[in-house]
Amino acid sequence: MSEFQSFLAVPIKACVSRSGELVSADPAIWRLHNLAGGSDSKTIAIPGLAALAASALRTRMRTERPVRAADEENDIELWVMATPHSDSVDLLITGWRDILPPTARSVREKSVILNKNDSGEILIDSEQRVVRLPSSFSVRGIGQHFGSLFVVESDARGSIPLIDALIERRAITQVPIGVIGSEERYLIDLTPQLASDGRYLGHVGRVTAIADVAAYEPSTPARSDLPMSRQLASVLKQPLNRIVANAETIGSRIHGPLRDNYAEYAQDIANAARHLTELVSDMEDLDAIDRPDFSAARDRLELGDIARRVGGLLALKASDHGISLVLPQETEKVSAIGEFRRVLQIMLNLVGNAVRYAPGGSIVTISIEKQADFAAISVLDQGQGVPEDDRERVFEKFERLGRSGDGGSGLGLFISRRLARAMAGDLIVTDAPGGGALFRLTLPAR
Amino acid sequence: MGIANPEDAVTLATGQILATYALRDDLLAVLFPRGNNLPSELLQSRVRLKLQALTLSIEQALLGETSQHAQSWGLLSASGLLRQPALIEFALSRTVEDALRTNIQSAFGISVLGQLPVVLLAHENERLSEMARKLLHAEQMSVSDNSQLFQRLDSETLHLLCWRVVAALLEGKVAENVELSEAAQTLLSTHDADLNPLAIARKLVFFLGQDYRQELADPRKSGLNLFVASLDQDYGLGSDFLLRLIGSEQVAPLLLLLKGQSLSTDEVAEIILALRGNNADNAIPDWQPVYAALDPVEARAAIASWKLDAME
Repeated sequence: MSEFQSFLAVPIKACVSRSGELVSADPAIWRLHNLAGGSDSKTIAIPGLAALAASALRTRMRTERPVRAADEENDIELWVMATPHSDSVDLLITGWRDILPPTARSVREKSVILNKNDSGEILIDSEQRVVRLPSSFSVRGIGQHFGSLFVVESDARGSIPLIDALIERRAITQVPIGVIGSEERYLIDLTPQLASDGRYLGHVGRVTAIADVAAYEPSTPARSDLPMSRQLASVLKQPLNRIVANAETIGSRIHGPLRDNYAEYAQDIANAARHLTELVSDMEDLDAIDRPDFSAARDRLELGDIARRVGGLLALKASDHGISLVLPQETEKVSAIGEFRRVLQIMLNLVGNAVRYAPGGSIVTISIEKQADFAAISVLDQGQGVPEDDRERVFEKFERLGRSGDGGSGLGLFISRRLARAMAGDLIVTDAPGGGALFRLTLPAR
Repeated sequence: MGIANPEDAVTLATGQILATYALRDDLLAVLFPRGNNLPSELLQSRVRLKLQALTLSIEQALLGETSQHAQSWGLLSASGLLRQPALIEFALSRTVEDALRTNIQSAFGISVLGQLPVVLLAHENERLSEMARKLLHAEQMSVSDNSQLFQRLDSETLHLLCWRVVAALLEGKVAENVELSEAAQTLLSTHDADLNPLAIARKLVFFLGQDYRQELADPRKSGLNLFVASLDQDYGLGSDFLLRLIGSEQVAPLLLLLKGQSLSTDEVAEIILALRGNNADNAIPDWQPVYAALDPVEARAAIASWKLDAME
C-alpha cells in the first residue's frame, strides 16, 4: 500500500476472543498475523491489536486509536476502532499507512548492522519499537518496529517464543534471531519492564552474536549509555572551558583594577562553569558504568595514601568552609584491591560532600581499617547525619534529600556506589559516633 | 579582554552565570526528561485544582447535577485513590497546556487554534473536513467548558477514575447503588474520543498522511493540538508527555524534537518564541550553534531513548 493511501475504501475487519485468539479476520489481517509469526486460531500475533482488544474488553468501552505493526520490511500504522462484546472484540480498521522513519527514507540499506560479531543491550517499547540497539548497529534502527529489523524463528512445536513473550509480556532467554538483510545470527534475552503502577513499558535485554556465544553469560539488563550524552559533552566542554578561562582572566585583574565584589562575581562564574564541567563528567561516568562491559581494574591500593591525597586536594576547600580535616597518620596503612582513580573519585565525592554540608568549625575525619576479608575507608562528619529512612534513597539518581542551590547534582553518590560495587565492594552510610554521617567504602582486602 | 568599564564585567559575569546554569538545566532535561522537572508549589496547586475539576466533571455526568463542589473529592484525595500516575500526568498536562495557550495568546494576540483546522474545513475530502470541524468543536469545548474535562481522558483512565468516583459517592451515600452503576455504565459506553482535541487531532494527522507536513510542523499554523499530534505520530511518545516537554522550563528537549524534524535554525527561533510567548529568557543562551551542531539522526535516537526513563 502507498504511504499516501490512508483511508481504506473498504474497512478491514477482525474479531478477537476474550482469550486473545484471532477468531476471524479479513485476509489483510491474517497476512500481518502470519508475518508476525501467528498461525490459525492462535493468540493474535500482532501485539498492538492484541493490547487494544484486551483494553476494550477490560474497560468494556469502545476504543479508537492508532496501532503500529510490522509489514515485511516496513512499519505500518493502522487506525483501529475496538468494540467490545461479552466474549469478544470487533476490530474495525479504517486507515492504513506505511511508515518509513525519516532517517531511513533517503538511504535505506538492507541491514542495520555496522560491525559483525558484536553484542549489546536492546530495549523495545510497549509498541514493539526498538528504543536501543547495541553500538554495532546503525542508529537508523532506532524507532523502527522490532519485526522490521529482526527475523524471528519458530521452535520445534511450531510456535514462536519471541512473539509469544512480547504479547504475553513474559521473559525469554537465549532465543535465536536473524537480522533482515544480513546473514548474521544472534541470541536474544528479554525481560518485561513494568511501571510502579503495573503498566507494561516494554522489554529490556541483550542480543549476543552467535560467534560470541561462548563468552556469553546472561546478566541482569542494565541501563547503558545515552547516545546523546557524549555528543552533548563534546559540544559543551569547549564553551565551558572558555567560560572558566574568561572568568579567571577577569578575576585575576590582568586587564586592570577591578572592585573586589566584581572579582568575586568572576569567581562565581568560574565556579559555576566548573560545576557544570563536573556534571558533564558525571554524565560520561554514567555512560561508562552503565555499559554492560564496564569493569574496574584490580590495582593494589594503599588506602592511607589515598586518604591523604584526597585531604591534600580538598584542604583549601575545607579551609574556606572553616572545616578541619583529620587524616590517617603516615604510619597507618591498609591494603586493598580496586582501581586507583575510581577510589580517588569516590573519596573526592564523599569528602567534598562532607565539606559542603558539615557546619563551619566542625571536623571531617577520614579513617581506614582492615577487617577479615575487606578493607574500609570511611568519611565521618559532624553534620546533621542521614536519617535512617533515607539511607538507601540517598544513593538514588538525582536524590538531593530536599537540598537545592548548593551546586550538587544528585549524581555523585549514585555513581560512587555503582563504582564501589563494580570493584566488588560497597558504599553505605550510617551514623557517625557522636552524631553526623559516616560513609563507609569497603573493598576486597589484599 | 578589553573590558574598559567595570560595569561591563558585571554584565558579562551575570550573563555567563545565567548561561552556565541554564546549560546545566538543559543538559539534565535532555538526558532525563522525565526526571528533572520537580513541579513548583504553584504548579502543584494548579494540578490539584485540575484534578478537582476532573472529579467534579465525572460527578456531574453521573448525577446529572451542576454542583460546584465534588462530593467524592474529600474521600478520594484523603484515601490516596487519586495518586495514580496516569491521573497526575493528565492533570499536569492539562495545566501545562493552559500555560502554553496563554503564552501563545499573550505573545501574538491570536487564537491558539491556528489556521490549519480552519483551512481543512474546506477540504475536498468530506471525512477530513468533518474531522477538522470536530477538532475545532473539541478545542472550543476544552477551553470553555470544564464539565467535559473527563472526555479528555483515555478510555483506560476514565474507566479507572469513574468507578472510584462511584465508590466514593456510594460510601458517602450520595446516591443509590443501582442508579450510580447504571449512570457509570452509560457514561463509559458513551465516551466520545472526538470530544478530546488531542485525540481527534491525532486522527486527523493520521488521515492527512503526507499532506500539510510543513504546516503541521509549525504550531503557529497548525495550532497546538495538531502540532503535538504530528510530533506524537512521528515519535510515539504520547501527546501528553510531548506537551509537558514542550512546556518545560528547559527548552533543550523542544530543540531536539524540532531537530528531529530537520527544521532550520530560523524556523526553530520563531517556533520557540511562539510556544514560549514573551518568556524566552530561559531558553538556552546562544543555543543556535548547539542546535546547528546536532545531527537529526542522532536527535531522533536521543528522543527514542527518552522512553528509557519510564523503563527504569
